[in-house]
Parts: sequence; structure tokens; C-alpha cells
Amino acid sequence: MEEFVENLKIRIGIENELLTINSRGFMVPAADLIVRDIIDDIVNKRIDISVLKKLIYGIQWEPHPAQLEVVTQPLNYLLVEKTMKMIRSYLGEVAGRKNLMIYAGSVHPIQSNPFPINGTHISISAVPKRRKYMPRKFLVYVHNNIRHYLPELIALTANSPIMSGEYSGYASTRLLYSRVLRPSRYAVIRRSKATIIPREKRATLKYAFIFTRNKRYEHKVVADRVGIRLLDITPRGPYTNIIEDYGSGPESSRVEIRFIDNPSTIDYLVDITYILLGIALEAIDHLRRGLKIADRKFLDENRIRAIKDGINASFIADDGEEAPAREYVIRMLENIEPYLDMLGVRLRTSLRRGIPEIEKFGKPKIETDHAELHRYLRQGKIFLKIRLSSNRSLITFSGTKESIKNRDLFGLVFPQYKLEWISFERNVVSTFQKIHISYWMLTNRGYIKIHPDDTVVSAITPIGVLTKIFSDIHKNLVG
Amino acid sequence: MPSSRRQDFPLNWKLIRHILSLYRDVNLALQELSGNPVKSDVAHIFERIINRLKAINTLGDNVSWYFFLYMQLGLHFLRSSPPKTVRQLKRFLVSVRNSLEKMIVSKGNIRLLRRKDIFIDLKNPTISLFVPDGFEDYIPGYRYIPGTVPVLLTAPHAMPPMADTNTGRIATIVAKKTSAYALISTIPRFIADHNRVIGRVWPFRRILENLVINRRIKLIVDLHATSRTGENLIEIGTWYGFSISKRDLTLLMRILDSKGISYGITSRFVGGDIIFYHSNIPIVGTIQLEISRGASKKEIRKIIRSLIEFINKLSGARKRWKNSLKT
Repeated sequence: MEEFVENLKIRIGIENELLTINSRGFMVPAADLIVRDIIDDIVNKRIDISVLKKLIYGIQWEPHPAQLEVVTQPLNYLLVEKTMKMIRSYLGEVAGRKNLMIYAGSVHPIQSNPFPINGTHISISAVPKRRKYMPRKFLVYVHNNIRHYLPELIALTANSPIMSGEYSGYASTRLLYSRVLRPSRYAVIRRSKATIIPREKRATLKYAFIFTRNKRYEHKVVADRVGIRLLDITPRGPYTNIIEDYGSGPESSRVEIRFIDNPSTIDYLVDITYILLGIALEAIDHLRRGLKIADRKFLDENRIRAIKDGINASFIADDGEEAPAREYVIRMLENIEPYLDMLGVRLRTSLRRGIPEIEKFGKPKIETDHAELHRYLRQGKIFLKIRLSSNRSLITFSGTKESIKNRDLFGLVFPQYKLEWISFERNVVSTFQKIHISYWMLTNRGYIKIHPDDTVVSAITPIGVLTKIFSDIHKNLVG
Repeated sequence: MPSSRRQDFPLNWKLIRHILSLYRDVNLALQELSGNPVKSDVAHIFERIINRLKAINTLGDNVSWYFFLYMQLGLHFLRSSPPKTVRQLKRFLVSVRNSLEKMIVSKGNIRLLRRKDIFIDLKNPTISLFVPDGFEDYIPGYRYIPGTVPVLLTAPHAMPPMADTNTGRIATIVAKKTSAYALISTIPRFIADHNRVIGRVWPFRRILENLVINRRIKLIVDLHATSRTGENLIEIGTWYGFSISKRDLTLLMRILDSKGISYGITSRFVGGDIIFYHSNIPIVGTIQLEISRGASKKEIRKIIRSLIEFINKLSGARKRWKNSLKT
């Protein structure tokens, strides 16, 4: 059995999105600045590019000004850890020069609402020794087997429960809001026309005509009827019906997995890569032994449940019975264990026991000094009259302090966030652990810190304030 | 779940209708106040405005927040001392009218504001206006140069890293030579970006607003630097043309032409939140100048000379105009 693995050339590619944050943990539009510094390093030969270029395809800034993307070369699975460590420590070093940091998570707990969101895309290619490229059947089997375990994988990797400073109610807020992660369908090889290709653009189905093809028909791997590229799992390359891949060479044949929330640490990233690799090998083994990969009846429902509750979800079996997601996850890990043994790798993190990183590190805590105030702010009632519980000084706009005589104050209330995080690499924030919210009041003379025991006398919306002003003027006119 | 655009649409149209009616009523009130105001007529218009505002307040939490983004913060603080004289009342109404104009130009949504603030969501008050921990330590966060001429030069990105090079220096030199006011940020933009909605609560912007009211500032010149100006040495931002009067803009362009400084007015550099928020035509004009990072020392000197000439001519013209009114 081990022979079949030896006869495979396995390559892994990783695309990892990251955010640039300041020393207080808040997102800043500095991706461009980091990339410029990297270019500067290359031009001035401060880094050895001859080593880097073998492992890393590129570092680029994304359309969002705080987002960076690291793309590796197709790597031997044993090089994933080394490569990711190297690139993250380098990015951390470059960010540190500007007094910045890199955030490795999926969703910024305060400033993502829901965008920007980060994801990790893992591409797997397995090529038989006598072939040059990943064959169509491999693409279909690997895709379908990963899709088969999709709810389990989401439950195991979901780690974005906070957005806009509040719990979203979902284990993976990223998957809930992502516009580019539509569910893929059960992949098949279909004989389809080579010259007329359905294409969906901006939610409208259109057709593309290609005049340069010699063949009238081709066998295509179809995971989506109209060849959408941005799915949660996508077979890629020229053997697929994805129009963007028509011009690519067969060496780009691979299965791309996009649904993974960014793992906080490289150890978790490596383990997830190994799990996916194990599933891919199981698929190829099924193909070798003539076994079929079944399409699960309640896959879509289980997927939604995994996004909502993560590892605490309960999945529905094909016979309608419900069981905890953790049981499914452990079963999946048991299924792939022999394949990981064949590869000579072992899972090192809590994932091997079916414990996701969010459970290991704990859900970030949100603490607010004044729950009532926060509720008013969420309702848009940002102008408040507050009765101070103790003597306080007002900090004027020029920075001087003045004592306040009046206990009842009217002004605009806004939050101050304090973020706490854990970090395993220098200048790289792995995950946020605590969000502490306190409040300030802005008056027309300066700022006053709100204490937890101050009481709210009244709260009003900005339009409410305007109405009051107009009413007062009206009273003066009538009076 | 995120609401779809289709759901937002009817609300926007309803809102736009209300805004247009409000705009009409505010203009009517201003017209009444300009002649010999009949108290009962003005009171009737105010009654209509109050009812309209109450109706808008029922459209949802988001709408009130939307209004706030377009209104000057200082207007809300008038609650404790509402305008009493006709002059104060007219000033208040002009500010409200300007905010409504901005809403009408934005067609009832926040797309124009979002254009600059893509890394925060403006729909949620708890994350649109906030400060990081240690806020107290950053106060005041600006350097102030007092003046006598009603022109204010601002350099909100003068502090490295990622500073707008030369802007702090230009603001200082021009302010000292012309007796204009200047505000130069001493906080890096990575901690607080004063040229964004999120910066409105920071002392830099509060003092800016206070200066505009108390020192009767007529023009704000917001200085920035960019590496994307293309062939031009300066890109002028006027927020789609409504942040500055045509007369002032023509004067600046004439001076730049005479000094041989290339400039452009493109939709790429329309201006940030300072330009947008503080413009209150005809009381306050604002203009953003994006100076090329590639400008040589000689070119920077030329720009400084042009700005000095512009401010001197502007203040001279105002003095002459005031004197003519007196005589």
C-alpha cells in the first residue's frame, strides 16, 4: 500500500493573507509601505533572494491597503513549515522597522465589519510518477473527498467569532460573510464544448466563445456548472471548466482549498496542510481501489452548522441521525492517520485530538466598562447626558487639565479599545485574547473619561439633538 | 447577514425625499431671515423642519448616524446654547444647509465617504469613531502656530512613518511669512489619521473646528504629499468642486500658472475628510493640495512662494472688500 504514495509527486502551495497593524493592534493601511521596504531590501541585497525565490513565489499587497498576501512556490510538504516560518519572521522584521506588526488572523476583531477578511488558500497537487501532471480523475477524487469532509474541516478550523468588537454568533464569521467562497458541487468529468463556455460575471450568466481550439469537445472537470473560480474548494488548471485557467499549462493542475480560516500559528497551518494531504491521499487510494466517494446527503446543512457552531455543532448523518461534530472530526482523523504514517508525518498540535485552536487558546474575551453605554452607542444614541459619580478633570484640546464643577455633562460618547493578544513570532500577532472597551465623552471644551459607576441621564441620536435645537429656536420665536 | 443593495434602495429614496424637503425649508427660512422676517412665518417653517426631522428619526438608527457623518459636530453642541440673534441663526442654518447639500451630492449613501475610509465601516458608531488605548497620552498631538490672517494651513500627515514629506515645513514657513494660522500633526498617521472620519474626535480636528468658529477662518489649505501625482507638481482637491469658491480657486490657479507650477484637478484627489467636513461655503472654503514627493528643493521653494502670494492676495482682497463696505 505504501508503494502508491512513493509513486506520487506531491506538491503543496500556500497563499496566506495577513493584515498590517500598529503597535496597539489596530489595522493601518501599510501594506504598500511593507512591500516597498521589501523591494528596498532586494535592491540593496540585504536579503538573499536566491534562497527565497526557491520557496516563495511572491509577497504582494492586496486591493485593501492593510492587506498583504504571501504566496509560496509549489513545495514539498516537508518544506511548508520552514518556508512559512522564514517568510513570517522576515515580514515581522520588516514591519518592526516601522513600529508595525503583522496580524495573522482571519478577521480583525474591531475593524473588520465584515471586510477585510483574510484567508489561507492551500493548493494540493499529486502527480503519478509516470505522468507529468495531475490527471483529471485525481482532481475529481481529491476534490470530492475534501468536499466530503468539508463540515468536519470547517468545524476544526473555524476561528473568527468576533467582528466589529462583538461576538458575531458564528464560529467562522469569515465564511459567513465571504463573497468569494460559494459552495462547490460534487465534481464530475463532463464532455463539454471546447469553444462555447458558460461564464458567470457579476451574477449574470454569459457565454464566452473561443475560436482558437482545435477540438470541438473536451473532457472537463466540472465542480461548478458555469466554471466559477471562487469556490470553497476548486479543481484548478486547464482540465477544468474555469475560464481563467484556459490558458494555463497542465502543470498548474491542482485542487485549491479556500475555506480555511487563517490558522494563528505556523504549527496549526502545517497540521491543517497535513490533514488535507491525508484526505487527498485517501481519495487517490479510493480511486486506486475502485471505490467511489459518496456525496453526503446533508452536506450543505452540516456546512452551515459548522460555520455557526464550529466544533460544538451537531451534524446530520445520511440516515437523519444527529451526532456531535467532534465525533465526526475524530473519525476523519482516524481515517487519514494511515496516510499520514505513509508520509512519515505526525500532527503536533491539539488538532490531532480534534481540538480546534479556538478551543485551545480560548475565545477572545470582550469586557466593557459600561454595558448600558455600549447599548446606546449601538443604537446610534451617541449624544448622552451623564451624571458623574466622582470628581473628574476635563482634558482640554490643548492637553491641560481643568476641574469640572458640574456633575451632569452633555456630549458625544465614543469608545476606547484596548486589545490584548498572543504572539509566537516577533512582531506577528497570532490571535487576540481580550478586548477591553472604556468610554470617553467629548464636550465642546475637551474630553472626560467615563467611569463604570457614572449614570446615564439621557441618550439621544444626532437627529434628536438637531430636533431639540430647532425646537428651542421655535420656542424662542413663538415666545 | 449583510443587507442587500436592493433592500437599501427604497430607504435611500425615502431619505433623499426628506433631505430635499428639508433643504427647501432651510432655504426658505434663510430667505425669510434675510429680508424683514415675520416671526410667525419663520416659526411656521421651523415647525415644518421639526416635523420633518422627527419623521427622519423614525427611519432607523442608521439614518441618524448617517446625518451625523454629514453634520458638523459643533452644531450638536449648540443644544446647550441655541442661536439667539438673527446673525447666529443664519450662520446655523447655512451650516445645516451645507450639510444637506453634501448629502444630496452623495445621493443619500455613504459611498463618497467610504471612498477614503475603506478600512472602517461607517455604518456602525462603535467602530467608526473610536480611539486606541493610551488616547490620553496622545493629547494634544498637534503643533499650533497662531496667526492674524483668516487662513489656516493644516498638515495632518506631517509625522513619520509614512509622513507627507515637506508638508509640516511648508505650513510653518508659509504661516510665519503670511501671519496665517497653522496646525501641524505630531502623531503618526498609523496611530491617528486626522484626515479621516475616525479622526474627527481627535484634538487636531476639534481645535481646527474651534479655530474656524472663533477665529473666523475663511479658508483652510490642507497640505499633503503623494508619489502618484503623475506629471503634475500639485494635484488640487476641491471635493467635486463644492469645497471652495470659484474666485479663490481661480486666484490660486492664476498664481500657480504665473510661477510655472504644473497642477491638475482630478477625481483621484478629491480631498479627504478635512476638506469634506470643514467646507461651509460661503463662510469657510477648503482646498487640498497634494504635492508631489518628487518635487525638488527649487520646486518646493516655488510652491512656498506661490502659497505666500495666494494668502497675501486673498487677505488683501478681503481687507479691501471690507474697507469698501465700510466706506
